[in-house]
Amino acid sequence: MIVTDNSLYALAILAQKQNDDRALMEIIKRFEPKIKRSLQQTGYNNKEDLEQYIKLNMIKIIRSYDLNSLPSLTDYINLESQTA
Amino acid sequence: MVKSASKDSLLFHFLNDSENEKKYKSYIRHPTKENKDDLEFAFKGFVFKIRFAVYISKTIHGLSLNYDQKENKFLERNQLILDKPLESGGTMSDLLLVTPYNNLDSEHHLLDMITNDALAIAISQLNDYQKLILEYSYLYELKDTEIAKLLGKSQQSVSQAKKRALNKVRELMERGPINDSNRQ
Repeated sequence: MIVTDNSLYALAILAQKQNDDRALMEIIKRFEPKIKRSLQQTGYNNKEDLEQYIKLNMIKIIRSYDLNSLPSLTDYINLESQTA
Repeated sequence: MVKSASKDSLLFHFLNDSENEKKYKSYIRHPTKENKDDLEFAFKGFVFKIRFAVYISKTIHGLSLNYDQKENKFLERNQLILDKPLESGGTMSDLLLVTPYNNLDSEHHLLDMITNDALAIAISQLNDYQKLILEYSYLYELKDTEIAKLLGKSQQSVSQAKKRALNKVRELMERGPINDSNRQ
C-alpha cells in the first residue's frame, strides 16, 4: 500500500514496515503535549528521566502495535447490521 | 445503512469528516477496487487514530505513575535523611550505623573476628603486647592516645609498637606460614 498522507495511521505503517525513524519521531511529537502534562505530576528532578522513560516505551508500543487487528469498513458495517 | 447510523456510532463520526465522506461517495458512485482501498485505508486510519490515542494516553499515565512508585521505592531504600523518625520507631541511622565495641571486655578478641587464615596465623605469632595494641586499635577503634592512657605508656611508644606489629604481620604473611614455622 502506498502511503501518501501524514495521518497517524500512515506514520505508524511507515515506522513499522520501513523502520522509518522520522515517522516514529513524528508520532511521538504529536503526543508531546500529553507527555508534557504527565511530567508535571512528578518531582522537578525526575522530569527528564520520566520523559525518556515514556518515550522509550512509546517507541516499543509503536513498533509492536498490531496494525492488522484493525477492522475494515466492510467488517464493521456487517457487524453493526448484525447487532442492530 | 449508513444513513441510519446513530449519532454516537463510529460510522457517523467517520463520515462526519468531509474528506472521508468524499471517499465514501466516490466509492458508491464508482465501486472500483482503488476507491474501495482508499476508503478502507481512511477507515482503518480513523479507527487507529482513536484506539491508538486512547491506548497511548492510558499508557503514558500508567508509566508516569509506575515511574513515581519506583522512584519512591528507590528513595525509601536509599535515604538521604537518616534522622527522620521511622514508623517502627527510632531513626534510620539507628538501624544503619554499627556501633563499635566501646566497652573493653575480655570476651571479644581480634583473632576471633578474622576470617582470613593467613592473617590470623600471622597475628597469632605476635607477642601479647602487640596483639593487645592491634586489638584496641582495630577492634575497639581506640586512638593511639587512648590506648596509651589505658596501658600507662606514651603515645609514641604505642604508635611505634603498632607500626612494628603491622610490619611483622606483613612480613609473616608475605613469607607464608610454612617457612615461618621452620624458622622459629
